[in-house]
Amino acid sequence: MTVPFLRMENISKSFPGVQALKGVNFEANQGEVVALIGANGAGKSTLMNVLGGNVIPDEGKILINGKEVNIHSPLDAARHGIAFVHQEMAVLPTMSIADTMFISNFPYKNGLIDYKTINKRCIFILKRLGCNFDPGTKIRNLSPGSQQLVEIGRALLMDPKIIIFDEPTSSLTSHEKEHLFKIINSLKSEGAVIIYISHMLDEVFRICDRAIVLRNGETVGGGRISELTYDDIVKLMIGSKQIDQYYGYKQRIIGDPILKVEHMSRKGVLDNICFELKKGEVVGLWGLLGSGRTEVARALVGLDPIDTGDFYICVSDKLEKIKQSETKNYIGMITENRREEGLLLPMSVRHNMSLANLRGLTNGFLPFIQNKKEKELTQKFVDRLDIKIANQNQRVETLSGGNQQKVIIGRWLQKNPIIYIMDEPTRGLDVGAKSDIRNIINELAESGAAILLISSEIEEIMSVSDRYLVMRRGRIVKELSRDATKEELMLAAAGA
Amino acid sequence: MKQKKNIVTNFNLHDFLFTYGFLFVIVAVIVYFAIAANNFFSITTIFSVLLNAAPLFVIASGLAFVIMTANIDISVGSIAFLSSAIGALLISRMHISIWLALVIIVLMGALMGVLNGFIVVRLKVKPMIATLGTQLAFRGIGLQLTNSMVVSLPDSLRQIGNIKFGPIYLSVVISLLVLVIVWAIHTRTSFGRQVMAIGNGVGVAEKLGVKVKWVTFGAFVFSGLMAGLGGILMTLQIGAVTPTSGTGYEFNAIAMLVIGGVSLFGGEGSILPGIFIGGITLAVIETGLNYVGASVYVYPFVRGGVIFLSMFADALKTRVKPRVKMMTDDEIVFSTVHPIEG
Repeated sequence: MTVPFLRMENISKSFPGVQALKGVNFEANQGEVVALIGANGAGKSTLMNVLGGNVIPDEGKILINGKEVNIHSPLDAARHGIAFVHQEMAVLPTMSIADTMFISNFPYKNGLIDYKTINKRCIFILKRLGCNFDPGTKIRNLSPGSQQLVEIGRALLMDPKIIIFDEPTSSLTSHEKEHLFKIINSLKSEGAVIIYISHMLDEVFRICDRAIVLRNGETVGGGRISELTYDDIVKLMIGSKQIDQYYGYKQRIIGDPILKVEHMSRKGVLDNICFELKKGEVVGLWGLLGSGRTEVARALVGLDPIDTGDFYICVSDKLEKIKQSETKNYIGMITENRREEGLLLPMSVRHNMSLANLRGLTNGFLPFIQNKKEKELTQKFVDRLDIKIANQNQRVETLSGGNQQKVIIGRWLQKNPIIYIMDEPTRGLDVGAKSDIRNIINELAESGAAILLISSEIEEIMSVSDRYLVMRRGRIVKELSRDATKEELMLAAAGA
Repeated sequence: MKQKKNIVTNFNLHDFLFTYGFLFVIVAVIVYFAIAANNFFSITTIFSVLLNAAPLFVIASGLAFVIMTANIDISVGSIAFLSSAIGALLISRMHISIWLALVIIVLMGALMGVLNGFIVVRLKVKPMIATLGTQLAFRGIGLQLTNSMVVSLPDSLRQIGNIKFGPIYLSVVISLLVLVIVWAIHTRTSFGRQVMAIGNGVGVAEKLGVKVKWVTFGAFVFSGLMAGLGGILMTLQIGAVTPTSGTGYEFNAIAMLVIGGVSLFGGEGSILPGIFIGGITLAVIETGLNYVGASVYVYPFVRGGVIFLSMFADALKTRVKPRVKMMTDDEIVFSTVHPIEG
């Protein structure tokens, strides 16, 4: 058997608290499109960041064409012919295509930038990508898909041997997607190694020759695409481990709808989102990274603008139509990044917890906050949620992750909304804290609140939800009942 | 070149209006004054307008680089004052040669730019506060050195200030020449392009391999250097350095830039025709007010109003922009013959 062109041996990498890669092996040949598949947090991106020089591995080596290479920076990677087309595009809206492509190494002639050469090369590369833009076109006048072509164009400048595409279709329209696939095919036929990171199975089956599946930082399987089925891959992605216990789940009494969302759309992000939340119900909003879960939550509380959409809230026994700007009065939002978006880290526990309810702490029409009231209320919820603090004046940044999360929940409990949105509420927490949070979710539901839960951990979402909404590409593609299996959920999200 | 037809044209009306919308303002202003003031529309007026704008053209062209990186430098007026005060003192007291003095003035300007750049890039002080501090400090040093007195230039130098090519003063010629050179630096060197990249987003620029710190530092040094050069023109025009030389120049320069389409949010604008248009607009307004015999107290009011309006327009632009970016599928133009497959 011939030596593979690219070989990554025994790559390990740990970040504080997580072992992201555990001795992964990876091979790819020239003229081949290899899919790198895995659920959220499986280590796909970390592995490719190692190859792209953005992450230095703790262990392992990389061989290109049989020779070991050292890659310590993106520049090293470029020197070895590795190009990385990132999911998040780095574009300069006010500058031209040519400038964006050449910004870090302009060719010079007579002390001035040689735009003649640049334009020539630019047009050549754009042609290769099958588009006909003038190199002077400003990036902001391009659609996201065309912007990505510029990114790919920049990667091609270096004449790479290995090209990594990280979720390249996440912001593309179907038309643009087809175009991208054509490009990938032609690059492949020119003998490049293509690595295609995705969790969209339909795409993988369309254009890839071989698949490698990662789970929890390990290679768990793979093979030629022609010999695999959707089910094989989904099984590899989620593993055989069954959910050991339906964590304390009790059938709850589910009441009438208290929130109804109709036709919520935002161009390029959300597509006709319609759903209902009922009293005492936990709804799991499930989908893979970038499917639009967080965007739904943000639009729901008015953090992001929407193009169309109607909201109905049950105030007194009847659903009434309200404006997007009013929804936040009824919804408590627990954001994805508690440290950046949820907490005011240098402030005290008490001040963090009273933040959503400042008006409730004043007396009569005077705008002064009643210290005593604030203290009492804080103590009430510290006790109820069992938050471990030295005293109420402790700075929030000194608390553990679990306690920080409880502070945020406590903040909303003070305000007592009828709907809670929890975006990744247990991310980065230890097992004990996770089960605490799940308990709280159950309690809240039992007390009659409606909860929309977003989580990347399938076990977690399955342990508390009464119903699932599955999202893909900014759309709710499926509604599943509580007895849906893990496979069903994963298949719906990955697009089978 | 047959393919030329297929290529999406460079010209975009929307872009043009965004950047040079103030062209309409200048036309409106000129028309107004042409009607309100007799013989406003004459060759002499045009050259007096240009003369007024000359030192500011130079100062603004340097400041543009700082603003394009989404920073700001409000010490340029004081740099112009201090560097030219040092030069004038060296000539009148130490009797050094004029050419050496000119070089020293420019170098002093650059040196003050180095200090600004160091404070902003290295010490990470907000540029507004950093340069507000140096603005006060530089003027203070200058007042101390000159004892708050007028330092006159020797007659030989004064005559240089009066040199004319036909109806055009030397300082106008120099300032236009400088604009062309700076325009080349902005559009045809990596420094100029990378300044724009930083203005688009520090993180993005870094990702693309731009040495953000060095380029930002360079922008401050360049701004200082051009302020020194502008100081020379300013001094030549008056024939002396006065304690109030250069006061308010920073805001006039900023107004000039913003009117000319340089965004305070960074990454946008041009030296030519941007600064030229901005400078002319501002100068036309002032000269025009002079012609209609407006009270001196009206000047700052009008100038303030113009600055406010231009900045408001700038803010409006950023609000509208994201909508423009979205384009639909069909607007992508594919080549008829696929270069790879066809």
